[in-house]
Amino acid sequence: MTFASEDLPAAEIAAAVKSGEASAREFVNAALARIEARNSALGAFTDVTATRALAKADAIDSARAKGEALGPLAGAPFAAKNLFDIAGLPTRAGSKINRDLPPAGADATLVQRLEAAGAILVGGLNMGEYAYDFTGENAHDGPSRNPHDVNHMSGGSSGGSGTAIASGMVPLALGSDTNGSIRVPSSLCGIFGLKPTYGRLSRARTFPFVASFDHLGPFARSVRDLALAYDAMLGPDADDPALADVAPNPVSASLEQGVGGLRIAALGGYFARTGEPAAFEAVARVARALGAARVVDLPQAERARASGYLITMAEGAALHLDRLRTRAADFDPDVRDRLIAGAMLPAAWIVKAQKFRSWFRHQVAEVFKGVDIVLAPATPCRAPLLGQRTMMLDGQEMLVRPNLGLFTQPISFIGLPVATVPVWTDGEKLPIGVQIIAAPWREDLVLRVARALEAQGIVSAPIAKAR
Amino acid sequence: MTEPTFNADAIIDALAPLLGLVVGAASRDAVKTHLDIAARYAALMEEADLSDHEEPAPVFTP
Repeated sequence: MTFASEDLPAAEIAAAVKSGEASAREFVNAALARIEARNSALGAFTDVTATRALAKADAIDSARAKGEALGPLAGAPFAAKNLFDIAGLPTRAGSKINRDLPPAGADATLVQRLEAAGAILVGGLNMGEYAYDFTGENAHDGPSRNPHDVNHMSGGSSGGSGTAIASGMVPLALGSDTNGSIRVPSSLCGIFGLKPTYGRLSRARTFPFVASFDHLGPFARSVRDLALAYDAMLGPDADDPALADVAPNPVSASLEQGVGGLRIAALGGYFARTGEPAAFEAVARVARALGAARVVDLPQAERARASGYLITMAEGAALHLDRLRTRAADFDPDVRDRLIAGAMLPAAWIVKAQKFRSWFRHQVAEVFKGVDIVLAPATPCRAPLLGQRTMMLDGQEMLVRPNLGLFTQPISFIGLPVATVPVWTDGEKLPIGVQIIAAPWREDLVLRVARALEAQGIVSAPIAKAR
Repeated sequence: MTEPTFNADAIIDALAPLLGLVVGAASRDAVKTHLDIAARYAALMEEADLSDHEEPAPVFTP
């Protein structure tokens, strides 16, 4: 095994490329070999962009040979959920229908920014159709499988992102999160994920789902890699009208500041019921490690979840109405039938749900006057089996597809930043995640806490042994 | 005052033609299930006591 074939984090790859210990081409070739070896069994990648990746690697190696400065992610292979535009490919967004679109003329802004920092795109990743999914299953491309047990779900809708990271194919991936689609696969696949504040990172040249809630963010196996990727992607972008006019807040420099002085509490009420014991034990373990004995409530979180659910149905349906009329047979039926129902919701419900969103935001802002970080489960259970339609939670039979996100949906409903951290239990082969949540724009705090937990060994993202 | 009632079949029959959608036999039960779920969530959401002056958040800045 050469140095470059080891499954290194992006930060270490960049250090090796800068020092000359290994070339960017070696790292890209190693990633392509891992994808070739593992993808057919796991279903993470839908497109592999080997030619452009090798050309980019050669450009980095050439720049180094000339003594030019290299970026903080120099030579690190990454991949993007296939709703990100990749120049030359149709942006399928997990669908059959979008494959008829013309190829994208340019990369998504976030792909461009990671490549500007030296990272190298090696392909597009599987996802649930049109991102309306928490399972990682796809009717057209097959499921992205959980690398820790291939009979289980990866989680969705950024399922390929979770699979690619947990299996060690690449150290870094991009995904989207409307109601939990970064946090659910992070939880089920046992990796780190960052959903930034709504409006923080540009969504330009990505395929939308619910404009009110769509976020983009990175996945990695280390908090340092999440921070490096996040820092590289910050900045204004006139191509995303929802991008907030706030100053960029790079986080890498403050990552090791620890949790001293931070007021941390677990969320009670809604976030402490309707889940399996493993979900709440994971939160308790993280809280103990952080010395967080307090419990606080987010008022009417159940209503927040209900409101987010309705807005999602309606906005998603409005986006796809023409396709539902003309291409209904080409949808995944599970997605199509939810969207058809969403098209039939009364407008007054949706307006009131948006009013409730404002109310809830103000209430949660009050909570954050007394606390800096709150903790909650990321999913109500470990990864269900592929194909599993229902699950039992607190004695109720519930649909798996919509309810894996019951703890994530109230948080993204008001755009709060969240780092999801993976917790492992002795004797269990599957992990479960915890949400580290802060007030808007405090990505620095959620990543500081995540890093402190990682440094203590409370959370970690080992590469899956089962491949 | 008329109490709100919810009949998923009636909604589908009334709105599918308006929307230009065909709800086939294979889809009907699933669409009804999703409408029933939405109605339950709407009932919960409708109970929220909000001021007339609460501003909706269609464009949201946290």
